[in-house]
Amino acid sequence: MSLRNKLCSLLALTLVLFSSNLLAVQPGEFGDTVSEGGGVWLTVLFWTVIIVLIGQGLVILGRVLQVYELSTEAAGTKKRIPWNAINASLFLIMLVVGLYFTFWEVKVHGALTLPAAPSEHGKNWDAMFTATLIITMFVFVVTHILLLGFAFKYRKKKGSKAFFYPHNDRLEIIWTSVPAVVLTLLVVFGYVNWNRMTNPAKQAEDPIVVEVVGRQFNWLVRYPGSDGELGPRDYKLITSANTLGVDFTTQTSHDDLMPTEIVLPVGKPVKLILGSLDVIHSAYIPTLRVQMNTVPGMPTFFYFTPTMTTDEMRAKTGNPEFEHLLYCNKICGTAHYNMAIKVRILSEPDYQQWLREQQPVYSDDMKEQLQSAQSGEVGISPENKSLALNY
Amino acid sequence: MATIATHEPTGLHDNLAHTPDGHHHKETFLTKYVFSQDHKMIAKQFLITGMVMGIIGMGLSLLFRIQLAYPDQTFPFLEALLGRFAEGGRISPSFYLALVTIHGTIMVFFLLTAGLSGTFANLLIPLQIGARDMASPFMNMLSFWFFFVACLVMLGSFFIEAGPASSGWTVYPPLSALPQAIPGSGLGMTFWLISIFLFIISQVLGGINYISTVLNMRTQGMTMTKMPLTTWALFLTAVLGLLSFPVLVSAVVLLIFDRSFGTSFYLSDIFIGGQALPNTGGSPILYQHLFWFLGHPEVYIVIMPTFGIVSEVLSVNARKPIFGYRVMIMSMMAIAGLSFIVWAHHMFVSGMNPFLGGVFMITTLIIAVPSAVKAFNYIATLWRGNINFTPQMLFAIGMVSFFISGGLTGIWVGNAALDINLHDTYFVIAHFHLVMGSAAVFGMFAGIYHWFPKMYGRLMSKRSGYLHFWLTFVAAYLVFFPMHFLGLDGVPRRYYEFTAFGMFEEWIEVNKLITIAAIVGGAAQLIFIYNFFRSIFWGERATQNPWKSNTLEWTTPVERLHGNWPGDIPHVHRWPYDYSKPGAEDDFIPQTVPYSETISSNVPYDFGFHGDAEGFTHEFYKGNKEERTPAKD
Repeated sequence: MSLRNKLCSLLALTLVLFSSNLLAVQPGEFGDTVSEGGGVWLTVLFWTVIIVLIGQGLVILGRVLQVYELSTEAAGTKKRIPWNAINASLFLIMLVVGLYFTFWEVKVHGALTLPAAPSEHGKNWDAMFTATLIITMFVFVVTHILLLGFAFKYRKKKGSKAFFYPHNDRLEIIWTSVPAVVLTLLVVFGYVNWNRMTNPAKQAEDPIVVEVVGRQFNWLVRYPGSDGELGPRDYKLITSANTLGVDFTTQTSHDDLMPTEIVLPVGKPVKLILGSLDVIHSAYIPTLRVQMNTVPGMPTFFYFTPTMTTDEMRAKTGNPEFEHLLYCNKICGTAHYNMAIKVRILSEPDYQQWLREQQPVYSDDMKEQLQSAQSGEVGISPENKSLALNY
Repeated sequence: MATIATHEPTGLHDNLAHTPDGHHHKETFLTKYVFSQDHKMIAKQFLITGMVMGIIGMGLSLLFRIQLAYPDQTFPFLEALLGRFAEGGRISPSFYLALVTIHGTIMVFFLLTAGLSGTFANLLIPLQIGARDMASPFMNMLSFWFFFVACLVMLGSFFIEAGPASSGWTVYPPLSALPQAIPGSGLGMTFWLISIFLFIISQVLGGINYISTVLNMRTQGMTMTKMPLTTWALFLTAVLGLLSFPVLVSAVVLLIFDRSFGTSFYLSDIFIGGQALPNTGGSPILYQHLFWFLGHPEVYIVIMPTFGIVSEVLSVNARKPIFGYRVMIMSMMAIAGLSFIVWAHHMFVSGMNPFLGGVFMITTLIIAVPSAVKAFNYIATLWRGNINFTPQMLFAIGMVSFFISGGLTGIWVGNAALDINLHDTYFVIAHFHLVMGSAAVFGMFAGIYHWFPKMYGRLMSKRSGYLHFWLTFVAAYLVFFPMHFLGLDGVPRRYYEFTAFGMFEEWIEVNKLITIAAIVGGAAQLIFIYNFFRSIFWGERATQNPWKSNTLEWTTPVERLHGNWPGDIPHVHRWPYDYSKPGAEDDFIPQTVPYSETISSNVPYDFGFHGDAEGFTHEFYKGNKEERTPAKD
């Protein structure tokens, strides 16, 4: 028996042996849960068998074709399988199907993407996006029509010959300068917008300042309170009560608020001061077009102005559950995916109301704790004592 | 670079008629197949190791794609395969991050850098320029073995208690510096660092070899502008690698110091695991600059060999010269040069000074111009060609399609303002998987199918090749195109699941489509693997020049000799792209055919005359030296 036959027999034997396992339904034991759509679809063996069977089928098909081709070649007849024509036609079909698929995607999945940005700079972002989309989509369609169209049109046929055309410098200059011009326009557009969005000199004079600090695995939020200034913080002062390590010996810290959510008024410029306690995180609010990494050891900033309240967005999108969410968007550890915090945009009166409801961190409880810490162990809680050892 | 150009044909070349060490040596199994110093054998070693790593990398991706598509489903086979990394039949969140990390590392470095340029530079550079072997066959052999050991170390990290490195293939500190931040940043990260260190040694050893060989060992008549574009591409790739990989070494060394020797290059103000770390003054952004200084040229190291491969395959199979040979060289040089000044486009939202964002946006969009020119030249090569659809031609055309698609979305993310909402989302994943995961891989497939006869003396089955291409082409688009839309909705990268918040629910169904397409695409690669290994032993025997190509490698015997040519190395007279030349007997004229034998098809341009053809004879044979048009080369 050839090796091939031996392997086939072995496979058949394996199938017979294991199919009896597959078919033998075991009664469930107490405490078993039913897995959804479970059973044979989840076993490796099932899929291995399927793949092997398909593979076998393909090999047989391949043999048939090979025999056909060899025999027609030997017989000298012209009835060959026209692989060239088949592949060329597939390119043409691919062009049509591909273009259709592209437009379907843009229509169906495109509809699932972000709603129009309810922030000032977000409007510029959206305009930039639309312009880039139109230009790139145009180039994508035209180049693919040419690429796949030429592949079909210039396939080898009987008596065809290629045209010896090694170069055309004028054409090169044209299709270098046209992209250069288009890209320059995009760059200028982008540069102006980037500048407007990130240059501190171009931002509003008196923004609402909110500090957002990332850590594994949640966000700490701090508002400056009625004095408008955030107190200093130092990571060496962090305790379980003082999660940001705010230095309460300074007066400016005394009215700082640390709510558990981010709430902002509509129409007012906001400056996010971003930080991190442990690893790099990233404050990402896609609905508002906001993103900036939070880096331990260095504050980063992002400026934006919301233009619609959350309720208005809910009405506009027709989704009563719409929320702005601030996600972590830089790999930061095991629960990186589970670190979002809500960002609520309220009308000015509602925002003021909310602010009034927040209590400063420097509550009486906190004062007591700090006093006892200062008088007792010298300002350092047990957690801070040992040095970390890196391997 | 001028050494060969002014060389006189004296016949006293030292690369005539003997093997690199000057004598016949007895070959044992070890010296022939294991510690081979023959560039062709080393190429095959790189290829097979790279392919195996690629299969493993793809397997890893299928594992985490299952998690993404079926987040609530338990799969007993996962627990059987992965043990405590997939307790209860679901991949754990930290192992998920390990999977994406090692997937990225294997694919970018081990498959697309070593497996692509290691294979083809080793195989083709000596053969296409007319050399017996590389400048230093011993260093070449070392280059492979460092690569192999690096592979073993990387795969070995899966057997570590706490798991492999898990901070993304970019391994940013402090996450990668602190074991208490994620389990994989313990011993697993150390393994990663050792593996990459060995890998970089391999690349540097290889790169020095490729550059020296191309510059010094070209045969008689092979000037730089008579080299095939493949050689140009591999040469420029090696230059890129040699200049940029050492910077990754510096990033890695500083990271090793931060991890093990208490330094603070990247660390400052960290409170973790209930402790305030003593490190101050460091900056995580320093690491990003150092990493991406390699990281960006790295992606051009990945794509440039495929530029060369596709140029060759398109022209051979369209029976036409590659359109714009000189422009293709210049665009590759422009891309190579510009690739060094765009790195911080990976860092637009890193917190670096926004002014830098503006600067790097400008340089990034400049680099789009030569890339576009190359795509147009490829399309023009097809125009009025006489296309023979071999599997390699299919993959070459597919590569151009993916390169256009992926390159166009590069314009989006290269725009700093747009990047604000697109950075680290699925949009970026779609972009780089189209250019690297599809275009570069297709270029690699094209190269394998095309040069298989040169490696093994046999042909791969073309019918399997067709099926492999069409399945993979469709599957790749189905997998990566929808990801653009996930990114445009703000779905972040490296997320274990989307169901934690309601906002991404609608993409679960799309994830299913992507995963199924990925599994089908993965299964389609089995066709290729079967075809490849089967054809090595039982493939149809090839002739010496099965594709009727002009380049020098097809003038060597099918059986493959140590030293490549049995007698003298052939001399080269013309450029490699005389396909379908009017007046020629055949539709190709190999580089070794002198102009004296092709009187019927010679044109003035062949002799350096760039003016009006009708004036050629008059100008060329005119008496006065100063009026004669100077010969250009």
